[in-house]
Amino acid sequence: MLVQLMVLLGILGALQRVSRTSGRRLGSLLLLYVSLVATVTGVLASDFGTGSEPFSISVACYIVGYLSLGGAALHPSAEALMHPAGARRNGTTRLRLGLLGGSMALIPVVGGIPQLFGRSADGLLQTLGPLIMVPLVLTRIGQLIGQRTRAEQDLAYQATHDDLTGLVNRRHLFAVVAQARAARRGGPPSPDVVLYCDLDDFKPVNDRYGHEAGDEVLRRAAQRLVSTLRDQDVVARIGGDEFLAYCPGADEATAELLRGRVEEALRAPIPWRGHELRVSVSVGTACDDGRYTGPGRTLRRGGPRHVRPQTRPQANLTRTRLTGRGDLSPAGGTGRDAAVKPIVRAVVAGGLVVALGACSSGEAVAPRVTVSASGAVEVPALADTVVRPLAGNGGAPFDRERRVQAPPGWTVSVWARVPGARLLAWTPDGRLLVSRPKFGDVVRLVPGRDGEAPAQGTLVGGLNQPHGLAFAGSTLHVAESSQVDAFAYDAGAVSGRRIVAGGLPDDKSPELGGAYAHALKSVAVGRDGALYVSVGSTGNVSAEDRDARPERASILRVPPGGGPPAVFARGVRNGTGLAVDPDGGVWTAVNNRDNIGYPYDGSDRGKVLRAYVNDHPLEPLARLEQGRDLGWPFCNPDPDLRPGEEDSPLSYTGRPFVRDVQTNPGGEKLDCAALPPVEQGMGAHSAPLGLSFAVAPGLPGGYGPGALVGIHGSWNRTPPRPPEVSFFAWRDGTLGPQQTLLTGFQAPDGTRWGRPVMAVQGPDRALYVSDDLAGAVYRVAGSG
Amino acid sequence: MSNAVNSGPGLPMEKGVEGEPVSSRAGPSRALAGRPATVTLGVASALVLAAYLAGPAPLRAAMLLVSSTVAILALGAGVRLNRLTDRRPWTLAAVGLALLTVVNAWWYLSDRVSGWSTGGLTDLLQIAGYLAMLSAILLVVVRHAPHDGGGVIDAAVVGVAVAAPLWEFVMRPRLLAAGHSTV
Repeated sequence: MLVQLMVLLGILGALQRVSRTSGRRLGSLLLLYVSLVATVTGVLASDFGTGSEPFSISVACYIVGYLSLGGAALHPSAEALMHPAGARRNGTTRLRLGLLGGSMALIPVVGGIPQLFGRSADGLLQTLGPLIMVPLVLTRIGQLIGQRTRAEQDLAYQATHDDLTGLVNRRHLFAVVAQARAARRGGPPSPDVVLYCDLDDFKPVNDRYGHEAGDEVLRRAAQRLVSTLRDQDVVARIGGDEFLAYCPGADEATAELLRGRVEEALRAPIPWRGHELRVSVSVGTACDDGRYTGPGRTLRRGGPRHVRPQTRPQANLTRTRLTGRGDLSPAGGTGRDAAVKPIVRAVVAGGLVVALGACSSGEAVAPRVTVSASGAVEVPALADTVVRPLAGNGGAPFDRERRVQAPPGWTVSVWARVPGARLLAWTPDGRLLVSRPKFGDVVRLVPGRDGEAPAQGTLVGGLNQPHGLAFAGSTLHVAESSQVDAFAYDAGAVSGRRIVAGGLPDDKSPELGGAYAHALKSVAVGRDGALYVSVGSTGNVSAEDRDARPERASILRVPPGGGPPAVFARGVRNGTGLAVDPDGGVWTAVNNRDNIGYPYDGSDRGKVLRAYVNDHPLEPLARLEQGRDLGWPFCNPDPDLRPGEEDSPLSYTGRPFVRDVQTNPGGEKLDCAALPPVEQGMGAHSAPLGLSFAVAPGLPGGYGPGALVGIHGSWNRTPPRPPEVSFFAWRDGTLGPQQTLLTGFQAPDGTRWGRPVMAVQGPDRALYVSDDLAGAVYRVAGSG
Repeated sequence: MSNAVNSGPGLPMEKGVEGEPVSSRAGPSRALAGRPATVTLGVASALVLAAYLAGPAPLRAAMLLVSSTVAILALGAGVRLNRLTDRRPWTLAAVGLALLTVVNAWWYLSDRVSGWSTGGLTDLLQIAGYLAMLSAILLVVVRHAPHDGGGVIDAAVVGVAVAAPLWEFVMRPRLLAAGHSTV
């Protein structure tokens, strides 16, 4: 009887916790709870004798328990019950520790009370209580130990790696060197090589394009170093633009080979927001014949102690390619003299840096920088990862290995195959909806167990190019090309279709080309229940759209409760990306115009120049307010920091508008200077499509909350803008600059195997990304 | 209006009751079936409970058996109507309810048919039935545990602890006073 009671109440407590943390009001869960409570009560009441009563309390409880259990399965939320909404890990607070301690003390205290009143203690309680309690507590301790171990591993990683590039840091590299040397002590001599790489022309890139560009250069340089060197080589970032590679077992010939490969790899331009950043590298090679005894001996000789970063011949290194070779033995590292003689720079470079590292290995690792209001988040460089199809999803283009660049440690799997997959939305009960304008339907994906592809079915079909999807509570809005529908959604099914915005223009312009020619609509629901609908332009620069009724190239607003749509924002050429931020602001990501004329004075004024078209105008990511005008086709948001200068640096944050030389040369059509600057932007011809917000806590790996944009990539740029998933950090009520989150869908020759359309965060915090070229939905699971 | 799904060959399709793709019977039918069925069960439950609490003695005696039978039918209907993909907890619950229904039928007959008597076997079936029901609920908890393992264990510890005073100050004295064994 006591065992029954304890087990029942233990499960009841656990179920109550599940109920409290599920984050959703699930009728099925409530009925399960009632069933258990009724059964517990029935069991407790059953032994007290009820023969003289008109009815038995326990039997009544059993009846309620049975029927509630049946009701739990019958309730429409039963399916959602088996799909937890997401992770919830509260810290072990003092209150919880106190509660646990009190709970464990309760059994002996309660068991001892009878003795205070001269009665005998219940031996059963004193024995069974701990027997049931101990396994639970041990499990909890095991779980806490696991958490601590993971935290220690994270800390160890942070202490030994460079945040920006993901490479190991100086401290870790020297530990690796020392370990390798120690392991070989007493064995046959084995040669080693150290490559010291210093980026040339890095500072000018930083000065000209800003720190974001500089960071990208460092990240790409690190990636190229890792991919160029051998698997067994260890590459570290040891300073601002300095890298050190330890190549165990490499001889002189190998060192030369590796040096050449590194120089070749870093010579290639680094693409960044439409620019090609160029740096070169000076590489010093230091070879060791195997008799080196480690940094300790070098230090004891005192030479390297004289060498500090500011006294090292960095200026010379950045201007002179080092080709010498040397010996890591103490004789090779002769301290200050060696450092000031150019002829032996290469000889000592590796050895000195190694020794210097050992000398300063106690330096603290720099903490992560707090992100400013409009800044990018500091995250490690993207790393190459293989796209892994789940069972049954390996058809073309995944019949051969596909690789993408994602944050380090993240996994990318082909979660579902959905031909023509476009925009996405999660249902309140944890299913993923995918719009397919090509097929006129909306597909639902029901997540299966880990590692299993989701079950697919059609939620609703026979629609006119359904595209945008948005939920308002249990009401699903689907944007067809000519209207917006509202459906009542419940447990994977829709009913009660209503038209909430009709008569939307959906004629396609042959000028625009493409499968949909701006006929597709997106939809978002504001905090107040108003609907926002994007209506694309009929052409590239079709100014008459601004006077059409209903107005095209606009964002329309349907007031809460319904009514005729009215223009909310205009001059929005094709605001396919449409979403509401955590504070209720409405944002749009816009596909801007093509073939822009060069607007500045001179012989090229008005000409369509490929070099200018490639980067102009930017694709806006703007927060809309009633009446806002994004300028098209009279004013263009301009990324040039020094307008009119050749090779002006570009910026995509808070950019102003300039007149379109073809449609508004004199400024009579629209006063571009009066338009508020665009909050953020993307490179010209990015073709941003799906826009969504990952709300707090947001993405793992240091990203946090932010906006996600599916960059479809251009067809009208040379070279084509590569497709990617972009991230814009959401901090202090606004968005930071564009950061690439997932890329690698485009080959160097411009061909592509995939084109992301939209990325949304799932209940499990993973990203789900649609791709209409590959016909897939990827699951991108982060770590950290 | 065509509801045909164009998902291509070899894709894992969600299956309908008859094993065909559900696309041809898109969602609304399911929604229509789910809610009325729940309401119907609610009404039936109220009637069963009312019959037990206020009905004539012969009717009351049958209500325990009726309720467990109705619950099994509701479970089966729920699994089909909601197309539940993770069926293990519901299967366990159905097994538990089936065992308890056998026990209830046995009790019902033992009061009315000479030669039927309850004893060791019915006790065993009853324990097995409750264990199956509890296991079903435990499976639901386990399903959520990876997301909140610490919280679930803490809650279970508190639940077990609460059992101590309930036992010591409420149940044990009453059991002893009624002359029952506390073991």
